[in-house]
Amino acid sequence: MAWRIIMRIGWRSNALLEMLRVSWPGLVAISILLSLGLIMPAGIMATIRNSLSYINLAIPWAIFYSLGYPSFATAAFYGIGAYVLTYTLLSGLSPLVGVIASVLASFAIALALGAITLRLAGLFFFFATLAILEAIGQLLRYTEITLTGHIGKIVPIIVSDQLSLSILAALAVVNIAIYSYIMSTRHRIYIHTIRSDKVLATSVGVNPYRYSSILFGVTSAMQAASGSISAMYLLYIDPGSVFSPTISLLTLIIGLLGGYANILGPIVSSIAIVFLYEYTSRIAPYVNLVILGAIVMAFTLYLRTSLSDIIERLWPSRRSIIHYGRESR
Amino acid sequence: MSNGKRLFSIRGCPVVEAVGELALGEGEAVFLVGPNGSGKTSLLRFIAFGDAPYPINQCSLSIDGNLLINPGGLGLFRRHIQYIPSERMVFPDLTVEENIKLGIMIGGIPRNERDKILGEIYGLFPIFASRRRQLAGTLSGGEQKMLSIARALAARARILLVDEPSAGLAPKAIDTIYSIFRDLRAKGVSLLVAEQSLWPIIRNIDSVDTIYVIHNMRIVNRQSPGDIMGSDIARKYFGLRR
Repeated sequence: MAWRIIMRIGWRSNALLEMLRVSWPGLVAISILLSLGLIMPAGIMATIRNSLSYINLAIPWAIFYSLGYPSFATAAFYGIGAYVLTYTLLSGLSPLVGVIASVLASFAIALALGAITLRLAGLFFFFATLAILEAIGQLLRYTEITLTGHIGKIVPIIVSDQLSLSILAALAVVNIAIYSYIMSTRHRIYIHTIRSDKVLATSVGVNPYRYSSILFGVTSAMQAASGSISAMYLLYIDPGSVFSPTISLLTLIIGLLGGYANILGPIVSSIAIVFLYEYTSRIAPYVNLVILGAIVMAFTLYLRTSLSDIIERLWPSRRSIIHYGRESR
Repeated sequence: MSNGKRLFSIRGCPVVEAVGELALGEGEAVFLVGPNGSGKTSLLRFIAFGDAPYPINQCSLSIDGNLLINPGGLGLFRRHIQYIPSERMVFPDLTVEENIKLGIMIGGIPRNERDKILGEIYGLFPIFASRRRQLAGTLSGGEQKMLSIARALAARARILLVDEPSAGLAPKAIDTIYSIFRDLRAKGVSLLVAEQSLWPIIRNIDSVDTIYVIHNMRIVNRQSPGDIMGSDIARKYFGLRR
């Protein structure tokens, strides 16, 4: 069955070859990261694991941002993933069921939220998702206090550092596969049309609203998977930690710096920002976000581009939109 | 040219009350002519997307003998109808070939027919064959209009709704577009074209089957192209003298 699907999407149109061409730098990067994580001391291993967690948030963020929507709802879906997994485990079900349930729940919630917010233009969508994050966090806090009398839950599962690292790396491979599928097939052109001109896209026959909703659902589900896997090694979760705006903010910074035109953009950006964030948290705990903010400002003011665009310029992957543009000039 | 087979009609609403219906045969070119704000684009967009102000929004459409009360539910017929706006016609950052391929994808063309259709499009528009990797945004206005028509044809559209094809073009470019219209009609493609001026129509009178004059959101008259020159309508709405 799986082979038939691969054959169908693959050989006839060379889509599989294109997917490999788009994804292999990312796969190599994840392999290196995993290998380093498995041999490094515990402190660095934890930072690498954190990087992988943010890679799994940043890739879907970048896919959705390619439509022109900067989302701040990352932590909302990360938190939903963590909470759904915890409650599934508390019900005596397996972690796999928990991950699947969190993916499905996030997909459904994202579709509902997308119906409300995706008619808004980029900046207004950003503020709407910020409000959604706060609303879901507060709602959960209120519900937990009302029903249980306390906030937070102990996650009833213990996984080793190596196993959690490996699962996060496996999820990163899945996310890279989804990214490369979207960027190697007709979806790349549809995304480009929607970002470029929604009115014309509608005239041509692409439904921007429906397409954006589905992509919002898919990318939110990917982020929820990251949240549910992260909960396995967090041991304890509460709305303050898993619905934290810092998660959304870091993903936003990573996504903006990384870009979406090349898979290495969000990956390299995640590693750099997480290492920088954790290092500055240690040496200057109260000014670390200021330092990150300064870096973003420097990038925006002086480079006016993303890491993806720089990589594409130096080392073009054959079919990305930007490369097509430049190649044709 | 038209083979007499009726493909499309609008009836049952105030916009067509004066003429009974607006009908389009297979391979026929029908022109909708009126001044600014008369409702040409609204009518075309209503047919394509189902959104339009009263008195257009209550029309019922009939396509291929199937009555559709709500054009928003064009469903399977949607791919047969392609709307070409008067401006912002192509995706400037995509190449010429990507713009054409977009039409092929939207049209749901089977994989084994895609190359054949691409070949047909390049046969009809040879100018694009040698410029397939050029960015669409670098084409001239007339070429962009031709590319938007090529994209619509790549979707195997049977009815093209073309909004002001002559807007902003030099006379020679307008004649080129109209000569493409003649080729399309010969291939059985039907055209519903909105124009603000009678001038491009008069220059290319053999590309036109019927002219509907629209004013204040209502079609006020139907004319054959040979009769419109000396008519009161031409004098009243377009200032043309007898």
